[in-house]
Amino acid sequence: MNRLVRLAAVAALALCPSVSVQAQETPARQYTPEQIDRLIVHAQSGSAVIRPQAAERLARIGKPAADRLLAMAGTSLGELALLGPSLIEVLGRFDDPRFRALLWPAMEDAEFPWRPAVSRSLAHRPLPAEWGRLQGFLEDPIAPVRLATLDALALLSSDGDAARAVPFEPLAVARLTDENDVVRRRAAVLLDGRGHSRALLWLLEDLQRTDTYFDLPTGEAARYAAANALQALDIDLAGFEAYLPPTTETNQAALGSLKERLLARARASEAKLPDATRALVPRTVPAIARVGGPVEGARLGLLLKSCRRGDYYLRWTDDDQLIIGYGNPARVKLPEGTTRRLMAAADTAQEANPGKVYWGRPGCDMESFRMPRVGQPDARLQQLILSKDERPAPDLRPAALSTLGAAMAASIPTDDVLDASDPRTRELAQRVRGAFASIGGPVAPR
Amino acid sequence: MEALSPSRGVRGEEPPAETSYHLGMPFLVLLLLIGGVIAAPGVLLDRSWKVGGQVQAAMERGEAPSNEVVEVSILRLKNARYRKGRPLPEWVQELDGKKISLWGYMAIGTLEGLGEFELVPESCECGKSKVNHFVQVTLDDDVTRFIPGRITLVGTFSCGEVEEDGFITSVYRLSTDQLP
Repeated sequence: MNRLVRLAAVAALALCPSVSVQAQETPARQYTPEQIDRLIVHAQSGSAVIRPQAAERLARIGKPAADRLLAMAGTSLGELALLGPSLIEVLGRFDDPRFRALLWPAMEDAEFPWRPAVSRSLAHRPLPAEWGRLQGFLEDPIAPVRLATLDALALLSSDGDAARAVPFEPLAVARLTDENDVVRRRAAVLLDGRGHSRALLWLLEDLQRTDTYFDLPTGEAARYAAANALQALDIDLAGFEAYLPPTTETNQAALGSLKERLLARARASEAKLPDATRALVPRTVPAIARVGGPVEGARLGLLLKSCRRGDYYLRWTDDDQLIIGYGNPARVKLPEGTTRRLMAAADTAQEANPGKVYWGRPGCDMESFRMPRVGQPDARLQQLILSKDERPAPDLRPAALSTLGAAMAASIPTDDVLDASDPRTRELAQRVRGAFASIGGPVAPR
Repeated sequence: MEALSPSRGVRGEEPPAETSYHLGMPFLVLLLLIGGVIAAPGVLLDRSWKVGGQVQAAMERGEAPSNEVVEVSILRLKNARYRKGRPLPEWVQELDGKKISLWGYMAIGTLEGLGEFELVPESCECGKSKVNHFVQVTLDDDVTRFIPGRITLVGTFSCGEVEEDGFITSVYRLSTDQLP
């Protein structure tokens, strides 16, 4: 009976939006400074799952929490960083210009450790005057920053200011060739909301992915993300199941139906657009967003994930190819014997650090080396990980791994050999060295 | 962390103050009745409102647990629709109490020598974890050591919100004997 009453109450509230809104807006309670401080401790040093929940509660408290956090944030980026990512992420929700004044220098400092959180904080309620400043971050090396910037610009462009609404669409179209599939999907959804539903064909492509980065099922993850995005738009998936391979009979049939639905939606939406913008979204999905062929014989891997310098997914194959990215990765032929030489350096790195697989402290920056186990060429690949938090960690990487890292970076071809139109390969060697330097320390120059 | 009390906020916090809706009581009662009528069929047909209840009911009936191992994708769990305080999807609830096989990665920062750890779909969750994005693994006959690669575990799955101090600390859990 109790649960019936509870549900009845929920249904009743849902039936009367004015009641819900007023309930949310009514200040619920007063918090003592000690209670606020306890929540701050949870948001800074609770478990990874508690931190964002505690920060969320502080955001709901409002001014008393804002005042306390402002005092803690200090005046330097170092002090701001000590708040940690969960608290930084909610600062933008307090609608206090003093927080924006603190967040912007952090956004503009490439070495600030929590830039993804900063960007989401700023994007929560962006100011019209920030349009130009934000636009520059659409080319940021960090995908979550590009994503938050896209969201912020979308929000600003939909506030009824026609003068800005026009330039947003080309900016979103440019993100359809972003190197990161999450950013591409968001751009597609935002464009659909502006009548460019053809962009949803990018998501249809993701539904067909089966790619992996070694044992990481990047294709399956993309299928879930695309399916969720389409369902959020109330698009019937025609029975598509993301957990099943796209090649199953039911998924093949579903993909066929879905393609028809999406094309019909595209035609209907484009018919309402002015002639000048009707063809803004390309008629064909570009290579970077298409389903890729299999990667055979990957023997070595370097995965750099950095909240300071971006993400790099690199693989070296038996037949001396460098595979860059995932999904439909870029493939570059290397001089014969390159992979063999790198594998020798990988053996040395393992022998110099027997049994050791992890260095550093958990944080937002990581180097992951994958390599065959010494003496067990057919066993599952060994993975060695370095991780760094907000604190400086000079000499984090052991010497033998630095030698391997230097050799990996040196094997990346020069820019004149690589495709300058592909964002994954542009200035790749330089960017990989920069990421190495930022995470585990510099590797030897070429 | 401080001692936790399940039904209140941070220890010592008072319950929320009454909310004023600026509406007459008769209108609210009418809405409650309408809501009740709308909600009743769903509630009555939902046999698994209480997550974990299926297992308990089966045990009370004296049914032996099945030894069949169900292979589950951690990505599917991560993407299952979850909203705080609401029932998990039926297919997740049906796994409650079952023996499952699950792959994933130890969260970076897993300390050595503990009896539990978080299993995540990708090793770097970058210090931020949504409650439905990991499986809390308990080791019955082992302690943790950090394994950097993908691991597959077989154990007994349970689901449903675990709340401490007003924070949801887990939704998915796996009890297994030892690490691979």
